[in-house]
Amino acid sequence: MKKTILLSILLSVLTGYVFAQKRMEGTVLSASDEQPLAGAVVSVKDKQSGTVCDENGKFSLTVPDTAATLVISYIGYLTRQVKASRSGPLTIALEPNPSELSEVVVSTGYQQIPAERATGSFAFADNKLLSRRVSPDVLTRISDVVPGVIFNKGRSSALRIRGQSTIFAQADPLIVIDNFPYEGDINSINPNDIESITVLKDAAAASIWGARAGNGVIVITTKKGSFKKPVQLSFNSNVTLGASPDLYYQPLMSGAEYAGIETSLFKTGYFKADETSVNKVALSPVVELLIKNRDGQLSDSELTSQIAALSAHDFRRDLSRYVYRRSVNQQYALSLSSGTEHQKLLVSLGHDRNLNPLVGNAYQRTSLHVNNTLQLLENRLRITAGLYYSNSSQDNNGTDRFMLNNNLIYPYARLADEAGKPLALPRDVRSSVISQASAQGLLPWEYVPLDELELADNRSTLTDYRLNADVSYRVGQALTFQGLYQYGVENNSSRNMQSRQSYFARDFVNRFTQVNADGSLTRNLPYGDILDQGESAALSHSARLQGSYAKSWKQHHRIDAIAGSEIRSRARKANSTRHYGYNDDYASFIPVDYVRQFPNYINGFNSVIPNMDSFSETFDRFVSFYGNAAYSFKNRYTLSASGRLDKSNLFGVATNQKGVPLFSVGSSWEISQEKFYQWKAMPYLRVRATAGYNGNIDKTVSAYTTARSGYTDIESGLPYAQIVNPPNPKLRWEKIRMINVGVDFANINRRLSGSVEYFSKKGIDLIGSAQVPPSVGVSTFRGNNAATKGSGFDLVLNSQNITGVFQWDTHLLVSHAKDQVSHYDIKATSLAYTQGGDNMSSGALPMEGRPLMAVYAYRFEGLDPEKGNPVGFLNGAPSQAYSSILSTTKPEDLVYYGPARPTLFGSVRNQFSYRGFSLSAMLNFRAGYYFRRNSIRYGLNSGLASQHGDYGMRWQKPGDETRTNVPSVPQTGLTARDNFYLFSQALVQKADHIRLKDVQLSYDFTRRQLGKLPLRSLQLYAYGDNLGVIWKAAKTSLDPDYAYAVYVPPRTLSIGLRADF
Amino acid sequence: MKKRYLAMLMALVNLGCQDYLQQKPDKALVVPTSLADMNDLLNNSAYMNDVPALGVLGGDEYYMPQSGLDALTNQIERNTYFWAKDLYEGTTFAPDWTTPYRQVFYANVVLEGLEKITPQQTQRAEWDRLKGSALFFRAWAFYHLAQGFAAAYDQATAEKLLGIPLKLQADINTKAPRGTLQQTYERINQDLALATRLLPVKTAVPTQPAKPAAYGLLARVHHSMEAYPVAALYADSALALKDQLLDYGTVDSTLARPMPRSILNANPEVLFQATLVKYGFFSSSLIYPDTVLARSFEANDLRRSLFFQKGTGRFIGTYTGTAALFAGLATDEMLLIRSECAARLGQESKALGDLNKLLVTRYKKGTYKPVTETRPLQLLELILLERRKQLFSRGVRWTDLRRLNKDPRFAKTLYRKPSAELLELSANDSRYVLSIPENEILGGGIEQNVR
Repeated sequence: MKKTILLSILLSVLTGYVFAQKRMEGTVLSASDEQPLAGAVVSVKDKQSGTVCDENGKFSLTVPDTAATLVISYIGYLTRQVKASRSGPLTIALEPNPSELSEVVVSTGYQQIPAERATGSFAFADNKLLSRRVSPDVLTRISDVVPGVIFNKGRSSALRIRGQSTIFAQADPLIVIDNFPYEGDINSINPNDIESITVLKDAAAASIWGARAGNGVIVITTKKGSFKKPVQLSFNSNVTLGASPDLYYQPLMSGAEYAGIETSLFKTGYFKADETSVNKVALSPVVELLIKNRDGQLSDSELTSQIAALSAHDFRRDLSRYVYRRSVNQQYALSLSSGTEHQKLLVSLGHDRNLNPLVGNAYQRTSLHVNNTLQLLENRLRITAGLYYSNSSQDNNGTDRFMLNNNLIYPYARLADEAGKPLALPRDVRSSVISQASAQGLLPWEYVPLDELELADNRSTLTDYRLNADVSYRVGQALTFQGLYQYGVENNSSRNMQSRQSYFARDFVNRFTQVNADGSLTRNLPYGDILDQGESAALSHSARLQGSYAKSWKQHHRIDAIAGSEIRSRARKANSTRHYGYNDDYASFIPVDYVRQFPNYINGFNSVIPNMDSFSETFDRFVSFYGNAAYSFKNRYTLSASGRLDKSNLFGVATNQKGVPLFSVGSSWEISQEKFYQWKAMPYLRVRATAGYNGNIDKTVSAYTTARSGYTDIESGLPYAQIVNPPNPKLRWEKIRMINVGVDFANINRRLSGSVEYFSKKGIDLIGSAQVPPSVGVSTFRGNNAATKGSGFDLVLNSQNITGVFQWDTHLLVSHAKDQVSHYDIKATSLAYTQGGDNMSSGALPMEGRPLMAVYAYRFEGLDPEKGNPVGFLNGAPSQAYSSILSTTKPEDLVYYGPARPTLFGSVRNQFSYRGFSLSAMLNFRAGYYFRRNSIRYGLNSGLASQHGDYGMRWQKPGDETRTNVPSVPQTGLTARDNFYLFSQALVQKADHIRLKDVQLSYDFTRRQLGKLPLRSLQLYAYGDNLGVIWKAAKTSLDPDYAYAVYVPPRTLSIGLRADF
Repeated sequence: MKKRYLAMLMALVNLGCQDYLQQKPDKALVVPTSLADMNDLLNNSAYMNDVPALGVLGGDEYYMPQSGLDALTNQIERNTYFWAKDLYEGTTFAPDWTTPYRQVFYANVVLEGLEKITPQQTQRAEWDRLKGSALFFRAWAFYHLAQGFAAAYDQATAEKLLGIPLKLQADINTKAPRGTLQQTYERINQDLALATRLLPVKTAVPTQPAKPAAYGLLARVHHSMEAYPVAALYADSALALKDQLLDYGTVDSTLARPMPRSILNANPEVLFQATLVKYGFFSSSLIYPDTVLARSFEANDLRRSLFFQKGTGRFIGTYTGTAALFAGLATDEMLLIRSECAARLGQESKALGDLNKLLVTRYKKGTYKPVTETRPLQLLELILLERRKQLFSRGVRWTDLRRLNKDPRFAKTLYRKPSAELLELSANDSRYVLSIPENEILGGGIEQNVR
C-alpha cells in the first residue's frame, strides 16, 4: 500500500509540472460557530472531479488549472464558490441556509450521517437537551424528549422503542456506547460525559446492528473535545432533594380493624394451627393476649383495653420516622478540554453521592473519562485512545419489609417506644420459645429491627472500565480504513457481613444448637458472623475492521459506503461463597460440616447446614459482517441499502444455522428542491421510506435437549442434572420486518418544523413460551411459535412562537404504537389471562388477536344485597358459583378492556427565555390503556395477609351494595371468590392521564455581570421533577402508572450551577 | 482495492470463526449424550422419586379439621379432601398429573439417548442398568397416573374404559391419546418385564431401582389388577432377591423421626425409595391419623410409638427417616401381597406364614402371639387390616379402596363432616377418578373424566 501512496504522490507531482495542475487544500467551516463541516462537498465547477471533507472539515483536491472555480456545498448551508487562483490553505466559511433545518449528525455506531441524508428513522437528543434534566443516570434523560421511546414506569419491563415485537426474548433495546454494544450496568455511566444520544427506530437505521436490533438501538456518544480550542475547564454541580415517600398512598387496613379480624378468627380456632405448630411459629401480640385470656390469665376487660392500646398505633408512622427519609442526591462534574491543530484532549471527572429514601441505602459513583485524538501525516492518520472508568457502590442496609412468619407484619407494629428506644417484634419464633431458649443458655432470639439497621453491612460495588483504540487511515481522497478495538471489564463484588449480633446469625446458630442431656449446649453451627460474598468479572473484547468510501462527482453524485467485519466476545465468571463463624477482626472463619444432618432446636427435625457456594462461567460470542451504502443525486434523491450477517455461539444450533442474514433498503426525496415545487409556505419538504429486517436473539433456548448439570442430590449425595430445554430441532432466530414512511418539513424561517412518520412492524418466527399440555413433561416450552404485528406513528412539531428578546418555543411529541399477537397457538385458562399481562405479572400471556399485554376481566354484576357476595356471570345468568365461573368462562368470553401499556403517548415542552432567564416546563401524557388496581384478598384469614384498606369499605349490611363494590368478609375462605373479585370488572380502570413531568428554570449571567471573575460563563439552574398527575381519566386516588406501588416516586427539587473557566 | 482487502479480511475471520463459535455459552450446560449424562438425569431424585399423593388426601387415613383445611394454600388439596366435583377452580397447579409426566419425559429422553449410544464391552452393564431404570421409572409414573386419573382395573371392562395418555417419545410435539385401560396396564407390565431383565440385583442407593424393585412393582401392579396368582409370583421373585425385615425392637423410639434413614441403606426393608408429593396437607400441624386405625394397634405393638408421636399423635414412622413421607417399595408390602394372594387362593398356611413372619418383628420381643386364624374370610380380613396398619400413609390405600370397593364384602363408604353437612363418598363413586387439569384438556385434546 505504501508503494501505491508513493506512486500517487509522485504522479501528482509529475502531472502538476506537465499540465499546470494545482493542488488545493483547505478547511470548510460553519460561519456561525466556526465548527468544521465534515462531509461538505468540494468540487470543481463544470468538471467531474470533487471530494468530501473529512471529520475536521479538511479537504485536498487537484484542480486542472488556476482559472478553475471550486464549488463548496453542504446541506443546510448556502453554497459558495471560490477561485482556484488563491494560494495557500483556504479557510472557507459557509453561511447557514436560513430556509433549511439546522444540521444534525446522527450516529449509528458505525458511521456519522447528516440527518438530511438519512433515509431511516432516527431520533436525536443533543447535549443541551440531555442536560435539561437532572438525574444520576443517562437513559431517563431521553424520556419524553425523543419520539417513539417510552419508559413504562412502574412496570416490569421499562424502556420500549415503538412498542414491543418480541414475546419472551430480550425486549430491551440494544445500547451502544462509543461504537460498541454495552452490556454492563448502564447506571455506571456518568450522564455529564454524554455528548449526544441517537435512537435508531426503524429497519434502515438499525439494521446495521443486525440480529440484535429488533428492539431498536440507543447509540450513546461520549464527549470528545475539539481541535483548535484553548484550554477550557467546565464545572457542573447540583444537589437534588426528594420528598419523603408518602406511605399513605395505598389504602391500608387500620390497626383496630386488623386486631378485630384477629379476635374473630381466634374464636373460630384459626390460630390453633400456628399455636400448636411443630415449628413454634411467632404470633402477633393480639393473638398472644387472646391466648392468655382463653387460658384464664387475663380478664376480659384487661384484654379489651390492652388490645385497644396496642392497635391504636399506626406502623406507617414508625416507618416514616425511622425507615424512610428525604433523599439527597449530589452530583459533581469537572471537565478539562484542550485542542491544538493535531491533537484534542478531554479529561472529565464525575462524582455522585446519593442518599436513598430508605434509611441505610446509599449510592456513590466516581467516574473518569479520558479521550485523546491525534492527527498525523497531513491528517490522513487519526489515532484516538479513550479510557472510561467508573466505580460505584450501593449500600443495601435498609429494609421496609418487616415480616411475621413470612407474612406482612401487623399494621399496629411498633419499631420504637415513645422515648425512641428500639423495640422487638415477633418474627419467626414464638416468645415462649425465646424465653425457654434463653433459660437454656442459647443466644438471645429477639428481633429488634432498628438494631438490625445499625448492624447491617451489605455493600455491592461495581468497577467498570473500557479502553478504546480507534485508528483510521485515509487512502487517497475517498477511501478510509478504520480499525477499532475495545477492551472492557466489569467487576462486581458484593459483601454482606451479617454480624454475630444480627438476628440472622443468632437465629441461624440457635436453630443448629443441640441441648444435651446434661444441659450443656452443642453448637453445630459455629457462633460468629456470617459472611456472604459474591464476585463476578466480565471481560469483553470487541474488534472491528471497516472500510469506508465517500466520493462525489459531477457535483450531483455522491456515494457513501461502509463495509466491515466485527468480532466480539464476552466471558463472565462469577462465584459466591458463604462463611460461617467468621471473625471480622482476624479475617478468620470456622469450617462447618455440610454433609451431616443436625437436629433443629425447635422441631427436632434433621437438616444440613446450607452451603451457599457457587460458581458459574458463561460466554457470548459473535462474528458479524456488514455493509451499508447510500447514493445521493443532487442532494435531492437518496437511496440506501444495508445488510448484515451475524453468527453466534447460540447453544446447540448447528453452525450452518447459527447465522442470520438481515438487510434493509431505503430512499428519500427532497421534493422542495424540484422545479415544480411551488408551495411557498413550506420551503422544505422531504419524504422518505424504508423497509427491512432486524433480528432478535433468545439465548435461553436450544434446538437440542440441554440439561444443567453440577447439582448434588441433598439426600443421596449423587450428582444429578436437570433438563432446561426440551428438544426442538426446528428452532430459528426471531426476525422483525419493519416499514417506515416519513415526511420532514419546515416553513419559512423554520418557525414551524417537524416530521411525521408512520411505521408497521411484523414479528416473524417469534419465540413463544407455549403452555404445552403438561403430559409433555415440561411446564413451559419455548419455540418459534408466535407472530406479532404492530403499527403506529411518531409526530414531532417544533414551533418558535415568539422570537426576539423574549422567546417562546414549543416542542410537541406524539407517538402511537400498538401491537397485536397475530399468531399464537396456545390457549390458557381464563384465570391465567386475567392474571397475566398487566402490571402485576412479570410476563405476557398472549392471546391471538389481542395486544401482547392486555387487560381482561370477569364480568361483574355488583354485590348481592343479601350477603354482600360478588356476583359474576355464568351461562347467561348472574351467578355466585365462583369456581365454576373461573373454570368454565372461556378466554374469549372475558371482558376485554384494551392494552395494558400506553399506546398513545408524548409530551409538550414549552420553553420561554428572556435575556439570561430560561424557563421550560414539560407535560407528558399517556393514553389508550387500562390498569387493574388492587383490593382486599380475604384469603383464608379474612384479609389478614392482604391488609388492603378496601376492607374498611367492605359490604357489611344490606344496602351497602349501592355504595361499594368491596365484597363482605366470607364465612369460609374461598380462593375462587377472591380470584373472581380481584380479576373482575370491579377493579379495572382507564389509565389515561397527563402529568406535569418537570420544570426547569435557569439563568445565564452575561459577560458584564461576571465582571472580573475568571469565568467564561456561569449558569444557575433549578429543576423540579415528578411534579404530579394533573389529569386522569379514572376517578381514583391512585397514580395509574403506579397502581401497585407502595408509594409513587416522590417529588424532587434540584438546584445547581454550571461554570466554564 | 477495497474489495480485495475486504475479501482477505473476511477469509481471515471466517477461518477462525468455526471453532470460535463452538464455545458453550454456559459451562454448566450439557447436551446429554454420554452414559454419565443419562445417569445424572435419572439421579434427579426430587423429580424422579416423587409420588402423586391426592389419593392420600381423598382416602380414609387422615382427618383434618376445617381450620387446618382453611390454612391450605392450594385449593386442590381442600377440594380433594372434600371430594369436590371441581378440583382446580380454574387453576393449573396439579402435581399429581405433572410430576409423573415429568418422570415419563426424563425416562423418554434417556431411552432415546441410550439408543444413540453403542456401549463398549465395559459399558454394557451400565447401559443395561440405565435402560432398565428408565423403563422402570416410566412404568412407575404410568402406574401412579392410572391410580389417580383412570378407573380401577377390571378385566371385564378394561378394553372399554379410558386409560391415560401413554407418552413414549420425548419430542414435545407428539401427542398421545388416552387409549384404553387395558393398553395402559399392558404398557406398564411390558416395560417392567423388560426392566427385570436389564436391572442389576443391587444398586448403590435405594432411589435407583434394582431387580427387586421391578419385581416389587410388578407385584403391586398385578395386585391392583386383582391378578392374585401373578402378583404372588412377582412378590415371590422380589422376596427371593431381598427379604430382610427391620426388627422394630432395635429402633430408637425417642427420636423425632425414629426410622433409620433409607437413603443411607440403613433400612433393610426398602426395595426402592420414593416419597409423596409435599402437599401442604402433610406439613399442617392439624393433620391427624384416623383415630380408629391408630387405636387398633395393640399395647405391645411397637408401631404404636414408632409410627405415632406421643401426645400429638402425628405420624412419624415414615421409612425415609426424614420429613418426606415414604411411598416406595419395601419387603413388608411384598410379604403382605404374598400373604393376601395366598389367602385368596386358599393357601392359608402360606398366608399365615408370611403374616407372622412380618408381625413378629413389629411387636415387643417375646410378646407376639402368632395369628392362627384359618377361616378364609376372617383371615383375609385380618391380612387386610394389617395391610392398612403396616402400609399407613404409604400411598397405597387409595388403590386398595378402589380395588376392595368392587367386592361387596369389603366395600366401604367414606364420610367427612366439615360443618353441619355430612359428605360421603360411596364405594365405586365416579369421584374415585380425579379430573384431569384443564390445561391438559385445552392443549392436548384428550377426553376429561366425568366426576
